Amino acid sequence: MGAPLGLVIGLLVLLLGAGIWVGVALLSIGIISLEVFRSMRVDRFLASDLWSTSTAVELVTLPLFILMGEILYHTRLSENLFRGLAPWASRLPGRLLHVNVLGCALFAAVSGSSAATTATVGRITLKELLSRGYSRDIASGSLAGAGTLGFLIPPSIPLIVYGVVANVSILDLFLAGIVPGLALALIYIVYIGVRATLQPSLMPAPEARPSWGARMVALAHLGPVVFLILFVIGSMYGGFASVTEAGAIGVLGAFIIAVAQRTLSLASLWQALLGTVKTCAMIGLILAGALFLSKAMARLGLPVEIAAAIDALELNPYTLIALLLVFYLILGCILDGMSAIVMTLPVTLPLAVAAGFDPVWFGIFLIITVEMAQITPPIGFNLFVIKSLTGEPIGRIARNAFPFCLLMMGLVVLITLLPDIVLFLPSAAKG
Amino acid sequence: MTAERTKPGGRILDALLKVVDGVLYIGAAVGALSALLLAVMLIVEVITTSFFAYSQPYAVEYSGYLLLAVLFAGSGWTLSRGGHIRVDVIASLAGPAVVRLLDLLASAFALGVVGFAATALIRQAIRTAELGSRSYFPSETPLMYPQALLAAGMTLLAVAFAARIVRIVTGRAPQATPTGG
Repeated sequence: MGAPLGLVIGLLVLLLGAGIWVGVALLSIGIISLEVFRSMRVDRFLASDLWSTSTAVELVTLPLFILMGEILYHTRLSENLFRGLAPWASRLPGRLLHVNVLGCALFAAVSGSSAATTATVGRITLKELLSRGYSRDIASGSLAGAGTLGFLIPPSIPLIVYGVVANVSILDLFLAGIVPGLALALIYIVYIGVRATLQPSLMPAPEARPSWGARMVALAHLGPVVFLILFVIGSMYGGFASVTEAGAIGVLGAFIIAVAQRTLSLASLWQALLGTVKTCAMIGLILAGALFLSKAMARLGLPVEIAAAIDALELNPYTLIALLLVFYLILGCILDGMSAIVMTLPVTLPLAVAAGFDPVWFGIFLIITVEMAQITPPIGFNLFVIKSLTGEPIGRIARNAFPFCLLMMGLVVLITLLPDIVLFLPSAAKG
Repeated sequence: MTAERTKPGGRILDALLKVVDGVLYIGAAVGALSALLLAVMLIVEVITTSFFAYSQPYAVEYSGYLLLAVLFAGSGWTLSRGGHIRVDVIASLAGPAVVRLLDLLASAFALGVVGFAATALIRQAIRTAELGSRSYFPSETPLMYPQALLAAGMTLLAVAFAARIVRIVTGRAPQATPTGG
């Protein structure tokens, strides 16, 4: 291992372990390594890089989708989802337990965040499921698992960030996330159905099945979310808006729903805007640090050095992906998923591409690993969201979520063996 | 006499920290208004291009400037609200005194790094002003203004770290009391 690589890894472990803020740690490692190993004006290089990162047009879509989610949080969309889905889910084995999965899959199509998906859907479904006597364990576990669909089903904030850092089309990534996202939802539904059949004690005594008329009436409650999905996707595929502008259309759609439901006041709009600033500032600092560090590493020739070292091991592609999966799962235990992706991508992406994996496929692979990190302790963010909803200990929620984590791992195996699950839609869209 | 009044620096320092929190909140407000303006501008862009065959000539350029405000103007406020991510493994294992010491060292280190970045950005904005550089878009906007905004955002983050250090050293809670959203 060369001295620059040793310094970068050593500083990374030391600074992150010491509790330095992730974005600041990444910036500092870039600054220190360039000051030590390169004779250059690091301050000018840094300023120029921060300027180009903060004005990158590809990133404009980020605050817009975040603002859309913040406005939707102030609507009655979660109540609408439960009322619209419950009569239909009651026919499936596992009955209302499926509302978590179906609700999250639908909400994910208008939300880019898994935490927002978990919080918005869970605040109604958990209360309803627990009051009707469903098992607390599978109710919170299925919510934890299903909430992660927010990252995979577009729009997705981590996919936007990945697209910017990896220089991959965000539209391609969005398309690539659809089939694996729906496949994961289906896998969850099958699992819940099988488990509920084997363990009937997870559910209360069956209630009277709603009539077909009641079911059709309930569909009207899904109107707002379907309107928003069609509004955003229709604007893109109808040729009215680019991916960036679709974010703005999403904000407009969310605003229309909030106004129509009379749930948006000036005060709640201001809260939504401040919430957007808070999330964007958090992502912005990490991105600025990660992008600067990746350029510093490129100047020091580190990605080539690491790639050569791994190349010398002569791993086959599947072993490499298995190693990367373990690596990201371990990293996800100490770091939030998005930070883990942006700070390691300059090294791992070239490795994956050299092993024959498509950058779009690798993006989806990484997002699934991030999803797993969201529901594994000690810092799985969705676990904290559910803790705030239920008051249960993190350990118990993590244990309940564990089967869903294994199902995600199954999906990783599936997309590795059948990459067309991911690549089919982007290829078809290109004709 | 309340416990807070016995803290080093007393009321004067409390007032000073309150002013700092107010300034950080103004930064967040600039970011929030920029997010709103960005959304409105792009909604108008979709409507005008789709139905009136007219594109706002400044939309692409100014969406970049508004983006930098959303990303960085509220960065200091975000720190004061505990919004920036860090690894808390040691903090969850160590006692309060060790956590406080580590927090102080981490904040001092971060102040150094962010201060370096803020100085670099201020110098960049000054250099741009001296050279009279303008954007290559039709508006030919003097770039010193958006660059100054970026420098201000990073400076506010440095100020927030400085305020955090003062709070820790004087025995106050490291994060500001939530105000203004």
